[in-house]
Amino acid sequence: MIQLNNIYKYIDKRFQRTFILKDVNLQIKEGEFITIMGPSGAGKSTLLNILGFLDDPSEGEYLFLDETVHNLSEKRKSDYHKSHIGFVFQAYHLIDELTVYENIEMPLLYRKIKSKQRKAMVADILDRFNIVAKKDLFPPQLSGGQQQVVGVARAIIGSPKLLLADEPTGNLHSEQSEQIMEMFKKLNEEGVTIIQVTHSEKMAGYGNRIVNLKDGVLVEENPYDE
Amino acid sequence: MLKNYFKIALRNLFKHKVYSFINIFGLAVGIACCLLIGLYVQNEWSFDEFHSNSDRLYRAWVHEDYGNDEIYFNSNTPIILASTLENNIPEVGATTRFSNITSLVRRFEQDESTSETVNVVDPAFFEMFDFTLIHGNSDVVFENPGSVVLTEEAVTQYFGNQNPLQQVLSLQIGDEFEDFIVTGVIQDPPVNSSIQFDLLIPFSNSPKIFSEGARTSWFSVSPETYVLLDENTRAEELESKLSSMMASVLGEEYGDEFNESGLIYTVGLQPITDIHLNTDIPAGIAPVSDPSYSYILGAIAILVLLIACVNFMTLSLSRSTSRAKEVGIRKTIGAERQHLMYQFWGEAFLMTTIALGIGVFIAELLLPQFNALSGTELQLFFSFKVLVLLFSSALFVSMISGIYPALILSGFKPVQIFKGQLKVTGEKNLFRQSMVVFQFTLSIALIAGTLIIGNQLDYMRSKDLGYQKDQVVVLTTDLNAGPGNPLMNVLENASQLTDRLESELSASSDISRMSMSSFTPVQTGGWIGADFRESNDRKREFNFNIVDHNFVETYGIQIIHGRGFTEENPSDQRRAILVNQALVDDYGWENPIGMQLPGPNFEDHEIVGVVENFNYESLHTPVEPLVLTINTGVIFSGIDNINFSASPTPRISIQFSSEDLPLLMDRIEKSWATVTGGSPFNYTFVDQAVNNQYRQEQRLSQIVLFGSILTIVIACLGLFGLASLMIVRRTKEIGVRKVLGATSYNIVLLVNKEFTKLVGIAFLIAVPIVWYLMSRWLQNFAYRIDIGLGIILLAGISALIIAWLTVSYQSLKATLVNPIDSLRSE
Repeated sequence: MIQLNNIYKYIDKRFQRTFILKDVNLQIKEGEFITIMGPSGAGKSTLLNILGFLDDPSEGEYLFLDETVHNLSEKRKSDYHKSHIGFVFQAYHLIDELTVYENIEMPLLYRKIKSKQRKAMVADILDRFNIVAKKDLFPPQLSGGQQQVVGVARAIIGSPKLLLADEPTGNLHSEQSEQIMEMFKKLNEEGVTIIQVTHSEKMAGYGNRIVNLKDGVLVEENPYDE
Repeated sequence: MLKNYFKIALRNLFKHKVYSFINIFGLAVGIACCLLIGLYVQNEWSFDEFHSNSDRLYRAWVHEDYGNDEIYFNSNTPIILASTLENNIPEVGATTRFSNITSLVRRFEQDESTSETVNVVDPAFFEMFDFTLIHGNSDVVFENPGSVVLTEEAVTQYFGNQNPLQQVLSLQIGDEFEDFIVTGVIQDPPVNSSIQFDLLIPFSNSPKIFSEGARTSWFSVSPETYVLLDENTRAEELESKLSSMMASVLGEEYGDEFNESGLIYTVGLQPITDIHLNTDIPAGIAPVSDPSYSYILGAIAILVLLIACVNFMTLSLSRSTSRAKEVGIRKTIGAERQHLMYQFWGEAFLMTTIALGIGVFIAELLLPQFNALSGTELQLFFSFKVLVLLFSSALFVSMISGIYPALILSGFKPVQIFKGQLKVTGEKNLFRQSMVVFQFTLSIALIAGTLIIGNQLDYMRSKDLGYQKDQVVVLTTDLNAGPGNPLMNVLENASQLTDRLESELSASSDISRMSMSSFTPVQTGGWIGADFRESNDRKREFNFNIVDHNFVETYGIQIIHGRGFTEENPSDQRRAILVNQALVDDYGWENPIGMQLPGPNFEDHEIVGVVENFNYESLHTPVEPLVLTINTGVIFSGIDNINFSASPTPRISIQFSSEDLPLLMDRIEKSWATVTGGSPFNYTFVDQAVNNQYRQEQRLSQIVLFGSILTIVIACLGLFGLASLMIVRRTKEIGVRKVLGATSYNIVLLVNKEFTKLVGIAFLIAVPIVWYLMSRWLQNFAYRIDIGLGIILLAGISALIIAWLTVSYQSLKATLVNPIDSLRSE
């Protein structure tokens, strides 16, 4: 599904080139649940952003479903965001002015899904995540864990093939974290490819493959062992 | 989707109430201002366009050029012009004369009469113009000379709710009251019509109104002449026909002097739609409006709206960080840039529409005051066309004010947003800064203008005019000269009337003096102008007034040399004149007493005294040479031309010293009724008349004051936006400074410094503009103040204080933020 060949990401400052990612090669198959681990500043988020088309690599080739990403138009990228890729963020990133229901519904609006079908889909998700009672509340009225549940619900309502999660449990306590991870696991079992970034070995344990990143380079060993 | 956008927009609106209020209110004020000015300008430009024949209707002018700058250019025309045009120019379809006379009007068999302007027109009047007859048939209403057609307003005034048709109104035509039968009712003329009227009577009454000479002479002008040309005829094509027509009609009577090539006497046609705004052709009966005013006002309206838009833009941008997260989220779930652009632009549109609603409401609320200020009777109508216009202007305004923030917001990159690396705007917001400078330039200029105009008004009100303006009341008699009733007789009658009134009021100790004169100070139009040629052919001009013995004393005018008129010298009645110092200076006389005016034809007379240069006209004009005389014959005998800009109807001035004004006026009114046997009692106080002369300036001062308040409000909004934008940009800096020990005072100073600079620049730009414009305005006055630098400085400092107050709110808010919050990043 995903093929990264010699991906570099760097920032040029006057006489100095700072590398964020260095020669990253990575292949991800459909149905995998991958955890990217590494210390702060290792380039995890950057890698995730590149994978999610939010950032472009400075060099190298990125194939998504056998298509070269840097050749994709903005329009095609948006189309992939609509239909293939879902995001979950550490800070949830819900829109505070919209209710839970409206937040979850939003991706469907961009996909021009008919109102009736939309209602059914949102109702389904609300039901599945046990948040029907919260549907008319606004995000600030929810706990962090509940917000992240909504975040996940929003990410998957479009039934994406790929779910990208940047420290999804970073702001949650352990019980809530486990709940989210259980959710991810279940989704993965249903066939969604998941790539998550985390510091937590425990959370990494939910995945079936770990990719270690250290100073922008993929390494085999556990990067936390110094 | 739309619903979703709408919800977000509304919720954001309510979440940030202060911001929304400021933004919407600012725009609403701009829209209201634009709307009011637009209404005014539209009214100005649409004058006389409501006639369905407006493209074929013309008003005639006459132009006489006798060389040596002796030019007479009039929109009032000879009475015979209309018939001459009709008889000689086949393309002329119809003509009507339009003349106004002042007449006393009373209801049939009632004693009470009111003074009214009556218009004398030809029957074609009803066919040519689009003034609709509500009752009566246009073919027959003027069949009989004794017919009168009333406007609806006049009907209400005279007959209330009664049916006016076939009722009788008595009009004073010449000396006599005559009965006129109401044969028709006509719609009130619209506000934007140059032709205004209340009562119309047929021109067939003209023998009773105009002398035989006036009715046949080409050198006496009175009515306006309107012409309806045949279709497909253009006025320019008629030029040669008109000049040959004039050559032939004048040639018959006056021979070669008026040959065609000389073009000494020219007649031309001016399109009716041109009358209101063309200042090149002299005003006829209706005043002409200076078109530059409506251009300037129109430009100001557009400018104000533009500034309001820019402020809207700045404020929206300053808030963009709070919407950034939403942009990021929307983009990651597949929103394209254009979706986001639509969304933010839609929000701007929503805000603009709300602002438009409020703006219309404000405009409606202010309309009466605006009308009072501008002297118009404008109304807001909500026709379909107007609504479409309003809606499209909301679209336009939201386009200008919404597109830029939409572009910026929709261009945010999610990665940057989520990393907190967002740069709201570049450091160089030169455009917004220059807008603020511009707004403050305008504010400072208007504040300074308000102050300068106010000072000039104060100066004019308090200046010693050289005569006593307080405690003098002027009664206007209804004695009019006319055919068969020369001015001499009228004055004689008025003089007797004054004597009778004096003896009637002799018991009143609070009436000190009484004087009859043809004119009193501050007469609209000025006193009588005259000129004559000295034996060496040098042209001399002067003004004169026909007075009695008491005039100089009644007005407390100082005599510098010689003496005033006295009753002890019976010859004063016949041959004494007084002149003012300006006349003496003009002639360069060393010792004027005993001299005569140097014209060859003057009857025997003698200058017995010289009066001080008192300001008998408004302070707009310098004091011109003046002659005061008792005997009109002395002056009339020697002058070549005479120019009455106002009627020389005799007036009686009464100097009083009473505290109880109502009681005094009551007494005077009773005596007046006894003496005159029921003439209308019209009076003016001289001090009020003096103040009324400057009504236009007072109005201007109010408009400028209004404008300066408005621009300050809008400029402050702009500054507020810019300050909040800057603080958003510098939150981190301020946080760091605070952590390093900066006090709130330091921070406020830091922020305010930047804006002080802007106001300073605005001040520097404003100074020369104010200087130039106000100097030019002051040129209108022969007697004026000097523009002190202090006054402009005062304007600058007040603008600065206002700016500081505005910005300090923002900077104080910024300093109160805990640095922990501003420095925390995820």
